[in-house]
Amino acid sequence: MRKTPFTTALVAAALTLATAATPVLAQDGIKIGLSVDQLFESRVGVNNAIKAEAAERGYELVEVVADGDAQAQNAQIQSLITQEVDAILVCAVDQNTIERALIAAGRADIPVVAYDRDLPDSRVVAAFVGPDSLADGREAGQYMAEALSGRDGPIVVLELLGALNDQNGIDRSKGFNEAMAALPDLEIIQAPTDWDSARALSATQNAFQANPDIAGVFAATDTQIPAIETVLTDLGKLKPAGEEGHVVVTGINGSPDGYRATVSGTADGIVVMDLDTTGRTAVSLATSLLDGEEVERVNVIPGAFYTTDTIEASKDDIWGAR
Amino acid sequence: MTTRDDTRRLVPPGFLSNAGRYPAVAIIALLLVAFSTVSPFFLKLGNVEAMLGANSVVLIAAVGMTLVFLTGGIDLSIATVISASAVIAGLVMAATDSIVLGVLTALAVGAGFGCLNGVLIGVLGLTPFITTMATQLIARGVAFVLSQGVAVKGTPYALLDLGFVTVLGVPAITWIALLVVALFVWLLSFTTWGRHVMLVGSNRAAARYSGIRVSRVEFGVYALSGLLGGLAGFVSIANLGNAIPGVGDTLLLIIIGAVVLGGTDMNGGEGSIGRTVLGVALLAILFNGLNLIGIPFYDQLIVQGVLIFVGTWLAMTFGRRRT
Repeated sequence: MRKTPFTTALVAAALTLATAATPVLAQDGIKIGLSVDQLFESRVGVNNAIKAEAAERGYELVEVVADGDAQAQNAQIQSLITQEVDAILVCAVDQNTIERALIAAGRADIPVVAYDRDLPDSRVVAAFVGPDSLADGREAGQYMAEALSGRDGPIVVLELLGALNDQNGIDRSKGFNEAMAALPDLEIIQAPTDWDSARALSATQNAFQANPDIAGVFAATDTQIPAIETVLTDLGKLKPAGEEGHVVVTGINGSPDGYRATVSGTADGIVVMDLDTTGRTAVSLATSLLDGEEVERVNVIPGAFYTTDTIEASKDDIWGAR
Repeated sequence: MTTRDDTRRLVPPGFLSNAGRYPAVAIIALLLVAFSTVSPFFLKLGNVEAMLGANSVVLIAAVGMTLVFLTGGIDLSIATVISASAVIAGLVMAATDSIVLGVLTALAVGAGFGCLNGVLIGVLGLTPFITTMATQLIARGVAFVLSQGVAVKGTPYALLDLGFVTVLGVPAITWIALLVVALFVWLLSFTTWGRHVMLVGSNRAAARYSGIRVSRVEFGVYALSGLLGGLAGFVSIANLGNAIPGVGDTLLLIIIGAVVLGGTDMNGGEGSIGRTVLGVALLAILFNGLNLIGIPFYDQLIVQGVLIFVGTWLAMTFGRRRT
């Protein structure tokens, strides 16, 4: 009787491992390591494009996800190096948090491509591919400036910011503000959201309470448009475009939320990121580096603007509509 | 009854009691066999080196946590003290480019938080759980306020390079952790202070009657735990390349898990630094192996949780029968 629990524990643990473990395939082909910060809709979109491109080229792909933990990402990159991957594609948890692991990759002569989030201060990253956040922000700003141009001032606009420490969020805001400067007599209220929809909701509520005349709302990510819709509905301000009192809503991303809102007319238009090209470019950059070719350090993929009138026809080009 | 006799014949004498004292050993052996069978990279020198380097921070902090556990307390603040020490040391080094000042700052910050815990718990008699939880919040707040939430840039290059130095195949930062281990093994086993720590944890009343100043012993273990948190914070900079405000956020459960899996009793009086080394090794091997064979992050959390059940249960079941 005495040894039974101990033996059971050993057997149970062995079974857990045996069922969980799948042997790594040893191949002569190219093996790419993919180190991901964390998973959410648009990240999964880019990753799927990376996987598709890698599969078409016959590459083996090893994916690791750090769930927002810098330490885990360091250990995971180290394990990619140990597994002798030929190149590493990385979306860092945060700038400057994984430099040591990247230096280790550099020492092992493994080229590193950053995607979606650049690491401008890194001594190792050979190339970056990601959204052209400045241009995306500008495009949304231009549309909103045009839509509001006929109105009498002062024009009040609410801007829902992303995270203050995220370069993509900062650049979207910068581009948006540049383009909006075309309007005279303009006031932009900025509210940080940390990319969080709940915070976007309360920020929008507060802003409309303080300024009932807000004429437009820009969301750094269109996943926050449902939150804006909730507030507008509550206040009885959800009116179709062209009608008196219509609040102009735009955003950036191309998520299912943004797509639905634009189709229904709640949002006037959104900038849709080209996740497919971003992912595929990441793999082709790695390939070029492996072939010893020179590549551009910074490669940006601009998004495309779609309005309620045009978005359904371009359904196939919008990642959130698939 | 016959089964009992059979068991005695089947396993070497003392096996069961040792399984209770060192529950980690059996699991480690199992993991080593499993991972080296499944992954051709597991036993490679580079991988072993990476594993040692990556776990030095946890090992140093786990020694501090063990001291506190031995007195029957808990230090929930140790992980974010690592963060705060790292950030403040990082800022000092970014401003002065002096590694020596960085080390001293990290140790001072850690000791500062440790002494705060020590005074509140040892002298004023507050509950360890709530007190260190409050210190945890304060330290985390300090780390994020001072760094504004992003990694502190400007680590001296010499320190970045230290992260890659190995001596006899073992990373320099692991040697630091091993020195800490050796020092505290000696302190606990061969000094009066060590005996006092064990006695306070196993029987507080008896300790008091035999003239031990319990409050002083308690103050000491929390202060040392903070100091080791500070050292771990500095080592984290060498390991990761920069001072990261959230570095400690995910470490607390790993540190506690390692100490418990090693077989040190949370109620005090029973345990050792040696067991904690085994606990740290167990989790290090587990994470490394699961990464190597490509188990996704969230699946790893489940395996980790199950293992903590198994380890605690092994320690309880066999540890209890021993007495």
